[in-house]
Amino acid sequence: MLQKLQTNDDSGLAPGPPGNREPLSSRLIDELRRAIAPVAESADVAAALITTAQVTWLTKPRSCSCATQAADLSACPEPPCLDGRGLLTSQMLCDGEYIGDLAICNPIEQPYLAGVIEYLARIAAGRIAQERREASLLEELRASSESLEAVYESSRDLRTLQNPGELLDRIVSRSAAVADDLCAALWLEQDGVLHPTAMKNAAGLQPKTGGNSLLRRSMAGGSPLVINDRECISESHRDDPELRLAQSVALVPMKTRQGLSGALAVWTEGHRDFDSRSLRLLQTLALQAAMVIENECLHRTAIASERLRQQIEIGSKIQQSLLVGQMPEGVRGLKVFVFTLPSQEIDGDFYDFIKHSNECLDVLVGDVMGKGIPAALLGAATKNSFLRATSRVSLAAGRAGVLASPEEIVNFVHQDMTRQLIELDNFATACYARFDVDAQQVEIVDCGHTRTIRYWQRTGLCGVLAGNNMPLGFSEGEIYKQFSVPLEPGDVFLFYSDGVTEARNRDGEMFGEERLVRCVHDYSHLQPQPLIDAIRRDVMAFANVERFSDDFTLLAVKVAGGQSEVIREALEITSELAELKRARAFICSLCDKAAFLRLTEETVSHLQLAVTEALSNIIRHAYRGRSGQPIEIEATADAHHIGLRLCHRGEIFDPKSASPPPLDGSREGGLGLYIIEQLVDELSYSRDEHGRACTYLVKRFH
Amino acid sequence: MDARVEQVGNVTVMQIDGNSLDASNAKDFKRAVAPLVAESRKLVFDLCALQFIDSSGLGAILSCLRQLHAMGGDLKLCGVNRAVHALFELVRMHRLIDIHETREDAVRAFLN
Repeated sequence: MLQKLQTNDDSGLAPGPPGNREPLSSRLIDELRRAIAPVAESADVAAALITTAQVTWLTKPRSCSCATQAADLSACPEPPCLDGRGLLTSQMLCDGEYIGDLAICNPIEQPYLAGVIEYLARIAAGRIAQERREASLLEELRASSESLEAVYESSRDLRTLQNPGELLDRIVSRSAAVADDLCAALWLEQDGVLHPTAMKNAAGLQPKTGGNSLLRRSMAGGSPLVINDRECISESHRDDPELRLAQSVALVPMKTRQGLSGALAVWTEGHRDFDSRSLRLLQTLALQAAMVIENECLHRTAIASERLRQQIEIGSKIQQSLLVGQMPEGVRGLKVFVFTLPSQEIDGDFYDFIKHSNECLDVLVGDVMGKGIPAALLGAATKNSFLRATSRVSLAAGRAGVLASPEEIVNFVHQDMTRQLIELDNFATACYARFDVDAQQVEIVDCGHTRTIRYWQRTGLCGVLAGNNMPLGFSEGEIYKQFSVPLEPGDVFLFYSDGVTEARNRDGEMFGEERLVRCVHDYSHLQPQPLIDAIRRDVMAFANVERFSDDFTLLAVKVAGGQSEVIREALEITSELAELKRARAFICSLCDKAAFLRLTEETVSHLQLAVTEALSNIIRHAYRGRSGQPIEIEATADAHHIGLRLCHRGEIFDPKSASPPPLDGSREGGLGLYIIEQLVDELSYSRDEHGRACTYLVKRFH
Repeated sequence: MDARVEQVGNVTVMQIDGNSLDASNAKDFKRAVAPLVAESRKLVFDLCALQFIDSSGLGAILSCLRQLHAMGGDLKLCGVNRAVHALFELVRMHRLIDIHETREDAVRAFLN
């Protein structure tokens, strides 16, 4: 085991995922030392925590001759104190991964020690796992904000620079700027030779043919390599002459879809270690470089269809990483859901959320004219401009901490983007909405985007919200204005891409805004996700397709709460068939009162028929034709269903006794039950709290 | 149950008044049409006034159809509104009985 440890550590290479080599915290060591102290007092034992990164003494045997108190085993002269009789070890597993052993040397072989170290190993592994998780979470947080900035800067370049050579130079310069005093080079392989393709602070790079290069090693492994150990680097310097004086090096291999491979190398001759934060940034930049190269390869490829297919993949990558935001969580009182389906052609639809607090959420949706990667990148740039605006407007105005208003944000983006958009002969529509739960209002700036649909529960109204500003990129002189509407429980706001309203049926008719408004009204009782699912189904059914030619994005925000309307009505009749008419009139008036259900004439007549059949069964069978007996009809209607309970004092019906329906015309009777079952979603029989027999009919909606 | 009868050649057309035919009046209906069913071989029920029909109403019409078939005659319907037609379809009755748009169509179908 000790040997394994030594051989493992000779290269100075970082094995495994980040965090693996991080030293154990002194808190953990102290804790374990305290835990093992009673054992050490009663027996002359040695114990050590052995991970792939280091060996740490927990307790040393009294018999240990070495004078050093250092925790590091390497400071303890031979023979290693743990190399004795009665060595007990217990493996430590952290999230299923082997991270090392806890070892106890127990010369007098007390049997209970096996249990003790197993227990300690479990504690140690648990603690290490927890510390790792905390560290990687922090890391994630730090790295993600910087990666976003790098991606933003690069996407800006992708927009303005046409030449892939310039783009790669720019990416390599950025890599060298990750920290001070760095050199960087991008190597690409061609016919088995690695060629320096772009470089920064590095001159005289020669193509590499030899196989003993660190670059080759990282490419073969397919994972990034960080070496913060001068001696390990110099071992390979014959094939990596530029690294002759390097103290630390970070290598990120890359591979394009066309099978072209290479690596981004960053190194320094100063005393600086690469941490996983800078490695993450370099990985992001290497991905960008791969994208540029892929794109360039695509331009060259002769087969147009192949190019299109790969463009779509790149486009959807762009869409996933740049155009589409993360769904927000934990905004008090708001429920949000987004559905997006990238089309076969890429276009410039984008959306994002900015959560300012648990009570305040901004929603951004937009669309850049045109299709293809240029539109997607321009969409990404516009979205990023918005994201930057949200933080920079306040700072610029010297009001740090005060939220910039939506119109200030849009005007900032307008200043930032409009000139470029005009130069590119393009424009973007967008809608920026701020949901302020405390102030109970929504502030909206509409830049010519598809009109937001709002269902206003208090009034039952459903309609579109639109400002009168032009799209971004129309006119430099435009001043964007916000308007506000109340934000109340039960309200629904739907944002969507034009792919939704422009879905066409076979006759070329478009789904249109009016139908969409009706959908929102009809499904307003649903939560955002089922609401969007229902709308999507309707549009799919209308267009009779599985896929759309345009991007298809639906984003719904619903305000929690809001009492849903419930209608309760009752009617008493007696057991005469002549009463059926009155029962039907009752159903008709119930449906009128439940106007929010927007029932069709057909549904109303179905309900009337089902009730007629059920009542005539009660009159003829349960009461056996006896007249003057009571029957009560109790009706409940809400946004989801209509329930009808027919209560009587006659015999309860046993559905098992019913014979199958005579659909061949052979008999006149027996159809009633079949008809009821066809018309309602639920039919059941029970006794109520007063002992009355009840037939229960339920018709569900959505 | 009121009914107005019209003779077109050897086809008897009966206009059914009253807007519903359900358990409450299906028996009256059967009684009212019994003489016609017994006398004519070619019968048309014009249901254009009928707004509502239930399984008893269907049963009554079915009974007429069976009697006519037994005597070598036939029954056709016309003027069936949407809700009524939907119920016919639900119980597959539209497969047992000819349903025509107008009274003229139904009569012509008998003459051909």
